[in-house]
Amino acid sequence: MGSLIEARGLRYRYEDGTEALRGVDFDLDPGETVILLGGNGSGKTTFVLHLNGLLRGEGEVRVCGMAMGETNLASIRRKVGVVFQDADEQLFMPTVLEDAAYGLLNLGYSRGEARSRASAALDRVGIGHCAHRAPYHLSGGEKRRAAIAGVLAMEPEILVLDEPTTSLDPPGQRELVELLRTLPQAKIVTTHDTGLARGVGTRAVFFEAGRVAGSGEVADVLNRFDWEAYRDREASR
Amino acid sequence: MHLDPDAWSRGDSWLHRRDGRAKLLALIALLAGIGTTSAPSAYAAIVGVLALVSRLPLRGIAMRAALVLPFTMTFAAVSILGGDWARAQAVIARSLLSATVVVVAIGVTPFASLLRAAERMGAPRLLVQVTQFLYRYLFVLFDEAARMRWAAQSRGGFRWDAAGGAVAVLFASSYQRAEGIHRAMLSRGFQGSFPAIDATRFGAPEIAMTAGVVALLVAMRLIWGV
Amino acid sequence: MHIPDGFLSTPVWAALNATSAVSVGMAARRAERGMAEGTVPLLGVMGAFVFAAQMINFPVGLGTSGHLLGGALLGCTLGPWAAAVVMTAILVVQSLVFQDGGLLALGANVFNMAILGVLSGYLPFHLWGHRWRRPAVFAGGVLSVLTASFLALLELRLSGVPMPTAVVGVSAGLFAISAVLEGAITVTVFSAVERMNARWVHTPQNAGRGLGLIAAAAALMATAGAILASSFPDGLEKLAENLGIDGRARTLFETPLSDYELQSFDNPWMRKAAAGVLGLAFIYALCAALGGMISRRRSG
Repeated sequence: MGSLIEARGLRYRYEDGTEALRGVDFDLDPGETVILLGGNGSGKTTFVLHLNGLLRGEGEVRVCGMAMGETNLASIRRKVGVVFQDADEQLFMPTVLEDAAYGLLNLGYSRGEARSRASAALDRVGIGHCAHRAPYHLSGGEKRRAAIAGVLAMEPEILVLDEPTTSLDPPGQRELVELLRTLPQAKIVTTHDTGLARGVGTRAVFFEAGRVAGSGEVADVLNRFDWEAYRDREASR
Repeated sequence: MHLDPDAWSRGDSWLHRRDGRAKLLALIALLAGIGTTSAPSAYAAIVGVLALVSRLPLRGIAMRAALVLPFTMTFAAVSILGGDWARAQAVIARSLLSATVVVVAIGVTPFASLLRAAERMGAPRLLVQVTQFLYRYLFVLFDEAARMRWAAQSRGGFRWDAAGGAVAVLFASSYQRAEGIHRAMLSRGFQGSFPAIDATRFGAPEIAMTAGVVALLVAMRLIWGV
Repeated sequence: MHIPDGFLSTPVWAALNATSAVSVGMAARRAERGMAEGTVPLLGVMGAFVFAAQMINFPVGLGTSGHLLGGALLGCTLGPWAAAVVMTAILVVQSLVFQDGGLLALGANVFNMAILGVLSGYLPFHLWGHRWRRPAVFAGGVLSVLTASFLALLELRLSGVPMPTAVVGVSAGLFAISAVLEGAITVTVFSAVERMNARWVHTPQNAGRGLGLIAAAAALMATAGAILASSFPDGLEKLAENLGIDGRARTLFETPLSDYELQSFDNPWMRKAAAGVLGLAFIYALCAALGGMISRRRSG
C-alpha cells in the first residue's frame, strides 16, 4: 500500500500576496505520526489546511490515492479528520453529543445510528459523562477531547491535529499524549510542544519559510534545528 | 465558575420531557391569557402550579423574574403618583407573572430545543440558526470582553479611543472566529443544515398539555370572567 | 428600551407581533438571497459580539459611561437585512435568557429596534456613506436610537400607559443624550474596524435604493406620530372618531375581552390605540407595497 497523503510541489499565496508555501513535498505512510515543527508563519498551518481542501494551492495533493479536487472533496474530507487549534470554534453545536453527531448526520447516518456512534466516540476519548453539557462549560482538556471525538466519530483514516496542547495545563498535556497514543490512525500533528512531539511522534518535519527544511527522527530534528532555542527566540521576539 | 443558564434545563421533570412545541404553544397561550385579562392576579395559581411541577428552585425563579422590576416599577410609580393604584397593581402583577412563566418555560427546555420547536412551527430558518450560533458563542465572547475590561481597569479604565479600539478588536476576533467555525463546519461535511439528534414527538401528553392549558384559559375567561 | 410584558394593550402587541413576523421573514429571505456560504456562523457570532461589546464602557465624563447598542453598527457592517435578522436574534435571547423585554412584547421590541431601528440606522450610510462617511455613520447611530425609543414611547402611550408631560420631557431628553452617545460610539468603532480591514464593512449597493426611501418614510412617520401623540393627545382621538374606529373596534373586540377592556373603549386611549395600530398597519402596508414595486422594477 502506498502513502496515505502525498503532496508534491505545493505552493500557496494568500490574497495579500504573502507566499505561505513555496514548493512543499510531503508523504504520510500508514501507522506514522508525523510532527510538523516550525515557527509562526513557517507555513505549517497553511499546509494542514490543504490536506482536506480548505485551501487549494498549486501543485499536487493526493489523499489515499485520490487527487484533490471538487469531485473527491467529500470523500477526502471523510478520510482526513482535522482537529483545529481553537476547540471553541470546532464545537459549534449546542451540546457535546450533538456536536459529535454533527459529521455523522452530514454523512447520512440515521439519528439513532448517529447518536450511538457519537456516544461511542465520546466514551472512546473518556468524556461520555459530558454528552449533554454545553461545550462552553467544559474544561480546556474536555473541550479538546470533545473536538477529537467529533472527528473520530466519522472514522477517518488520517487525523490532523493543529496545536492540540494549546490552552491545556501540564496534566492535560500528558493525558492528551496518552490519548493520542491509543488512537490507531496515522496522524499529522503541528505543535510547539516538545513533550508532545517526543511523546507521540514517529517522525518530524521542520518547516521554514514555506518549505520543508528537514525531516527525520523526532529527536534528531529537534536537535538539528535546535528547536527549543529557536522557539524561545521566536517567543521573545 | 460561569453563569450557566442551561443548568436548569438539563434537569428532569414531566415538563422537561415534553416536546418543545407543546411548551412553546402553552407558553404563548398563557402569556396571551395574562396579557388580556383584567385580573392578572387570578393567574398566579396556574403560574405557581407550573413552577412547582417544573421542580426548579423556586427562589431562583423568583430572582430571575424579578429582573423586570426596575422597568415595571418606574412605570408603576407614574401610575401611583397619578393616584391610580389599581392600574399600578395590575401592571406589576402582569409583568411579574409573565416573566415567571417565561423563566419556568426556559428553565424546563434547553434553549436549542426551544429554537428547534420554533423552527418546526414556522420561524425563519436563518433566524433560528443565527440565534443558535449567537447563544453558543455568547459566553465565549463575554469572557473575551471581560478580559479586555479587566486589563483596562487595572490600568485606570478605558479612555474613549481605547474603548473604541477594544470594541474593534473584539469585532475583528469575532470575524476570525466565524471563519474558524466555518472551516470546522466544512471539514465535517457541512451541507447547509444543522440536523438535530433528539427526536421528541408531539404525542398524546403534548396534545393533552396544550389542550389542557388552552381549555383552562378559555374556561377562566368565559366562566369566571378573569 | 426593552418593553416587558404587561404594558402593551392587546391590539398594540398583537398588531406589532404580526407586523414583525412578516418583516423578519422578509428580512431573512432578503438576507439569504446572494448570501455567501459561511455567513450563518458569522451572523450568529456578530450577535454575540454586540452582547459582549456592551461590557466595554465609553467614558462620558462626570463618572458616567455609555456602551454600544449596535443596531447601526450591524447595519453598516453586515448590511441592513442581515443586521435586522441578527438584531432580532439578539432580542430573542435578551427576552428569553435575560428577561430583558417581554415575549408578547417581542414583536414590538423587534419592530422598534431590529426592523425600523436597524433600517433607520443604516439609511444615512446608504445615502451618504460614499461621500460623508463619518457623519453618515454618526447620523445612523443617532437615528437608530431615536427611532427605536420614540416608537417604544409611542406604543406605551397608545397602550394607555399614563405619561405626564414631565415624564415625556425627561424621556425625550434622555433619548437624545443616548442617541448622540450611540452615534459617537458607532462612528468610533466603525472607523477603527474599517482601518483594520475594509472588507469587514458593508458596501451599499444600488439594489437597495428603495429600502432607503422606505426606511426614511417609516422612521419619519413613526417619529412624527410620536411627536403628534405626545403634543396633541387629542389628535389621534379625533382621528379615531373621524374614521369611525370607535364603533367598529367595539364589535371587533367585544366578544373575547372582559368588562375592563370594554370599559376602556370608552377610554380615549383605547381608541387612540386602535387608531395607532391602524396607522402602523398602514405604514407597513405602504412599505411592503413600495418594496414589492421596487424589487419588481429592478428584476424586470
